[in-house]
Amino acid sequence: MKFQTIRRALMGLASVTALVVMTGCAHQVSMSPELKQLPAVASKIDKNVAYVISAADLAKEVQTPGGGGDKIKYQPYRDLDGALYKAFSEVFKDVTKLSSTAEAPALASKGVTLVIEPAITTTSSSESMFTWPPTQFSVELVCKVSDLQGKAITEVRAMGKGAATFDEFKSDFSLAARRASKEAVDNLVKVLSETAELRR
Amino acid sequence: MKAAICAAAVSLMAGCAIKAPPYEPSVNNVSLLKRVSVEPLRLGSFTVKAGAVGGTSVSLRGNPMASPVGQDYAAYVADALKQELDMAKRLSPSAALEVSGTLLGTDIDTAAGTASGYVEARFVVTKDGQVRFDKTKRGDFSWESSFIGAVAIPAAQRNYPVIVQNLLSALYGDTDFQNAIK
Repeated sequence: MKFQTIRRALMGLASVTALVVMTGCAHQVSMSPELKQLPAVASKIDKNVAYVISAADLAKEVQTPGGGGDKIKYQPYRDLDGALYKAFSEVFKDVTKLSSTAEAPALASKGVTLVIEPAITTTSSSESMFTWPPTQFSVELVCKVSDLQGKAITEVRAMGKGAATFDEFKSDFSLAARRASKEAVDNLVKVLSETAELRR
Repeated sequence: MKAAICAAAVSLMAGCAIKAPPYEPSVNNVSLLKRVSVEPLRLGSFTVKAGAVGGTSVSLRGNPMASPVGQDYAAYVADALKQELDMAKRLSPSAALEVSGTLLGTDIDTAAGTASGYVEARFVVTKDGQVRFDKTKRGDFSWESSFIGAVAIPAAQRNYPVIVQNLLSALYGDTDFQNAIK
């Protein structure tokens, strides 16, 4: 009985080291959302698209506020790459990923007609003075859509907000970020599928 | 005051486990699958080899990290494969080709300086009862770490999906696997 009490206390001590603030630290989180269920699209847009994320964007690391004066760090484009691919796959017939818009014209032979350039903006915050994971997170996705020659067709925007309490994030420090990303990606699927310019 | 809050947090968290993040499909893996495969696949059973390191829990400096899907990390690998096959439009429950797996081990070393992790699994591809592929593959990844647990543990947790991405990349990139699923 005593051994179990000591063991539980030690495990708790180890666990809490992952959560209490260490002033000046930047703690790594992930924005990657759960992808299993995206909103259903009544009729897919019968077009092949390419989306562009540069190598520089893919490697870009962002720091925003966490709790207790600490910061969180994450890689928005790397974390959302799979989610964006999945979202575009839900809306369009086929999807290809590029690292530069200069590669787009060569895809004409593969039936690609639209090029999407996503931009990701985030914010985070926490009311907690003693734990670092964010309790609030927001994600804005802006997708510039053009044809293979670079002529602008439209721009779509989707927002997502996520919140997580201590009881929820103690097993997943990234929870608020994941929730915000999921809402943003869900909204992106809806907005893309409802944008008339993309069906012309 | 801060010590009191920490003590309260300790008592609240005693024995609680963190979870690995949900698997993040790799667009490079999905693109490779689309290039090398034509026939759809279905998933067979994925199990943990008896006594395998990290089968049900990976320790991050004493914090047990559980799989967010199923009961063990074999389920995590199966879920990862399923998601990437689905995104590549190569998943069908009625497919003649079946891929199954056995988790042989997975672990993370959260050493200060450089942390690293691995996952190793045996994959078997069958068609009409005939084995077409039977190999062990391994995914590794290393990243910058810290002696501070509050930095090292979240970093290790965040990087687990990348280790599994690298395992599946090793599988899809194997020409024997590519030939087996054609």
